[in-house]
Amino acid sequence: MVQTCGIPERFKIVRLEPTNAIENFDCGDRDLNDYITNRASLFDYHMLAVSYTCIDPDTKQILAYFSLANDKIATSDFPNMTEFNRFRRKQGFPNEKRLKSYPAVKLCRLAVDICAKNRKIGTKVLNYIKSMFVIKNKTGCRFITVDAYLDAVPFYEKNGFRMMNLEDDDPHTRLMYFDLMDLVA
Amino acid sequence: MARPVRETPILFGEDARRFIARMQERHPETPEARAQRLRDYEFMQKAFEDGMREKRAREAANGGVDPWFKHVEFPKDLKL
Repeated sequence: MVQTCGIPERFKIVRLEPTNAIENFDCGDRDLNDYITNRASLFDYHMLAVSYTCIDPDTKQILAYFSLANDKIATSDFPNMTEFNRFRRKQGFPNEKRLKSYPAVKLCRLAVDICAKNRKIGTKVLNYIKSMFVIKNKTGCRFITVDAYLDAVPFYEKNGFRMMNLEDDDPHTRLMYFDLMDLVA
Repeated sequence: MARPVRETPILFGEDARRFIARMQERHPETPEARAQRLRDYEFMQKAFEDGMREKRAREAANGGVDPWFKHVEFPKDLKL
């Protein structure tokens, strides 16, 4: 039986410093737990991501973790990577007409502790990130990107994310994106 | 060791065409979804402002260390 902890209405959000490490967290995925408890501080220290936690202030239990980094989505006129590389070798780096890129923010990791599952904290976090980059964005940002675990794909689809590649056969994850323009009335 | 997050790739061919076509379309959220998203944002933003104010108070009271987290230090020359 999944125990519940914390009351979503009461939690606090904290942006972690690189010196802040998380000790007790279990989202049910060993790989994600390992990143959050052992590697996240290192990525924050090297300024490759910024980590946030949702915490129950009474128990100090971490209810959810997410981290963000800058990203971009680039499109090319070339039919495939082979043609692109052939051109690049012959002509040097392609000009603007050959490669267009759009600013994005990458949701690097998003995890909810087992004790706080089924309380829509993940959806609240997504709604927060979406609004953050529409309402108070300090730089241009058109998309949210995510490398979603296969079992999390339905969650992202339900929240308006789309597949980036038609044929993505990675055994673990799917690359997905959300267009923030959909939120602009 | 945690699996690395895949980098966002350059989109080619049909993927690029489909992506650009989707960019031109508008898929506005429903009024209900918009209202819920904005409620979540207000709630989360307040949780963030309160959370950071309390974090700074904890740090000020503990010599710059937040006791809610394990304190780690990295050597200056640490490589990723």
